[in-house]
Amino acid sequence: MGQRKPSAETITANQAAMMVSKAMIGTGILILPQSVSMAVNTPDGWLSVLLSGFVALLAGWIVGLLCRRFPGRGFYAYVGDIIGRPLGACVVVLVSVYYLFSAGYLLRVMGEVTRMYLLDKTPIMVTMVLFMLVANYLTVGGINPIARLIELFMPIIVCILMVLIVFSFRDFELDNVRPVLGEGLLPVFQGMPSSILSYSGFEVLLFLGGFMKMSRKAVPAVLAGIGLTTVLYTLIVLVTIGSLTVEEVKTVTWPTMSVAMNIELPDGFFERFESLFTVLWVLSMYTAYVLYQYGACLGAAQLYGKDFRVWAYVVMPIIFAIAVLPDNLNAVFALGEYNSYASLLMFGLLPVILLAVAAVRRIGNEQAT
Amino acid sequence: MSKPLKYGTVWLLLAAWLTMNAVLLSGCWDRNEIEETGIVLGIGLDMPSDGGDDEQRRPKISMTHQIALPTGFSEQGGGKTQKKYMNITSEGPIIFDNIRQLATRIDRPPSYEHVRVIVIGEQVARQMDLRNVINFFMRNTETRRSIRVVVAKGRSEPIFSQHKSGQTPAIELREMTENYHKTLRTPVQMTLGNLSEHLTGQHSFVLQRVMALREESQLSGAAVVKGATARMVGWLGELETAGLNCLLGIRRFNGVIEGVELESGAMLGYEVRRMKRHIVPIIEGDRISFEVRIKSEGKLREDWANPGDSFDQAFVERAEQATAARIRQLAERALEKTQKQYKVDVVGFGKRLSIDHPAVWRRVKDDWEDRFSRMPVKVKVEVRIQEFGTRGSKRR
Repeated sequence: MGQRKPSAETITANQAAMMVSKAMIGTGILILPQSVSMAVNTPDGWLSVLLSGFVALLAGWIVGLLCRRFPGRGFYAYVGDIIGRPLGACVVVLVSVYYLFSAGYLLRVMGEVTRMYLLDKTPIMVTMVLFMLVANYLTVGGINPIARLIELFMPIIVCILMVLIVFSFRDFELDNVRPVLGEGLLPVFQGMPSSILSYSGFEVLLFLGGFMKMSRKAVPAVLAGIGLTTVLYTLIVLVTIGSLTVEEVKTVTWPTMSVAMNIELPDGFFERFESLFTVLWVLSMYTAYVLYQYGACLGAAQLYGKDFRVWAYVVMPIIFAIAVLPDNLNAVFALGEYNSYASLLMFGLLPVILLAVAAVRRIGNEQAT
Repeated sequence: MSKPLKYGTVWLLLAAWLTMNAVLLSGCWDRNEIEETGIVLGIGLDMPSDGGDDEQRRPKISMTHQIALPTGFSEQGGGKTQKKYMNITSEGPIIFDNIRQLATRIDRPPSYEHVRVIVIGEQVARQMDLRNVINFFMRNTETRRSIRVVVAKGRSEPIFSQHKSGQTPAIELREMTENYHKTLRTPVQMTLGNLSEHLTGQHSFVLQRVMALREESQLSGAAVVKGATARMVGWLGELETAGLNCLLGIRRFNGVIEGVELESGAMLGYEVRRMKRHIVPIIEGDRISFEVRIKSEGKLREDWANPGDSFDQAFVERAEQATAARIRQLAERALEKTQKQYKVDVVGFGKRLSIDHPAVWRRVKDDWEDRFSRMPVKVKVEVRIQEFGTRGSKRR
């Protein structure tokens, strides 16, 4: 189990915040502007994303409270205490399966994007298998290497996103995001379901919480992580709509990549920004994927008691099978959507229920809550 | 690392190692030798010359590729200048078909990552739905959204064999499209991405027009594309384009306005430094009208008046008025042509209305351009001459 050496296997609040943020910024950001624009149909998509960010903050706050209530123990360990062993086991299975699907979906999107923008003729299976192998190497290392790598990559990823946003402002036209609220608030609310979906991922704190050195910092960490993601998401959607127009965003497959392809510094000094972006984006996907795989392994280890490292190898073929399951790009997007709905159901409702039950049954650290 | 590796792990590692061998030792799938690719610099689109309308097949399109020929280093300093490019023209039912045909005609697989410019022939622009014409390029990841698009008067093919300096025409043309800020007589460059945005949004817009002269090509005037039909509806001449640019109020222009001073009838040259426009929709019940306020600041660069004393503020003010009158005249000519004749809204009156009065806009947005063509537009111009160069007068 993961908590064999509690003294060594701890993470700081900073690391937790970065991991929360990193688990969210995986694939969503590549298609978010499109799905939101489709739902909103006016240039106000970025407002939906911003509002959804607040909803996510609320959900994250609840997850944070739950973590604080059970210091030093992971979600998988205490869920059984709260709602009883059999039910708890069901929840652990559900969450683990969800992480398997998330990892599979992410793997496939990584493969698709790489095939489209970088390696046209390389079979997609090969990129996927290689990616998995390298990711597995990190996963078996346990929480500390994962946390450190994310701590190292996170600034790079934020940087590359900021570069994307700043360079895109050359092409940004204010009129493209106007009129603001031209059709009232209704479209903004219509866009919220699809934008809330892109915020799934913060729930990694559920199992990260057990590793936190100071679990009272769980709430600030999750709020910081979600806050950072909200800002980045909002800016990306704003910039995408501002430089491509809503109508165009609705028609492109990977809107954020299209924005990256739009970028051109004067005199051809720097063309092909999207190559750099894709390469660095694989890093970003890598860190998110590792978190998902790790989450699935921890859950399985909790249920069956073996070392999570063994499970890391066991889940690889399952994840791969899920990744190759959709037979075309539309099926991939559909899988992503089901995934997000599942996450919304599980991590929107579950922590609330758990927290309520724990409070009623007086389980956990009462003072902390 | 206290625990020895388990057998399962060892087997998995071995399997992984073998897989890696199979993958890594077989070489790279996506290897592209730079010497073996044909770098496409320009693409021209035309209707096929033999007129394919008699057949009941889909409309055919003809495509001209301009491909760079890398010259060997050993040939440097040789006697005669070699051509740096070759042009290949093909015909086919769709764009992609044209591209695949290339493989049967040249040994190098074409690479579209460095396309500088796409030239659309007049007939293609007028007769084909441009959304379909650019669809291939929008789907393709190699073709960047920043490729410039221009419309050729007549066929696009000759544009690719015009060159003054021995430079490759496609590169030369690309540089020319970027010179729009030196003159008012050509519209702002149009990128493939922007073109697509206008087309999907069904906004009307203008593109730069390129004309093949005897030995060179020239950018002048504009092609007007109606957003609703995604087809070109007509040309704007140089002066009409200048008027349109004033209406668009693009800040980066440094073009020249030639005014005529009222008192002496002398010519004046005014260089635009800043141009700002403000569109004000005026709603009176069901009647919508617009007022365009153009404000410009600039420099008096030339006058043919005698003595033309710029130290005299009265003269400067007369020059300001003369320039303002000229701008107004140009703007009205542009409106006459686009609004009344072509019935398109290329200036963005509709957009402004949708921002200022969203409720009104919802009522009129269907058949907007038709309604707009009957709406009165008033143009108000204010010009301020800030300075007049290093010489203010010819004689004092």
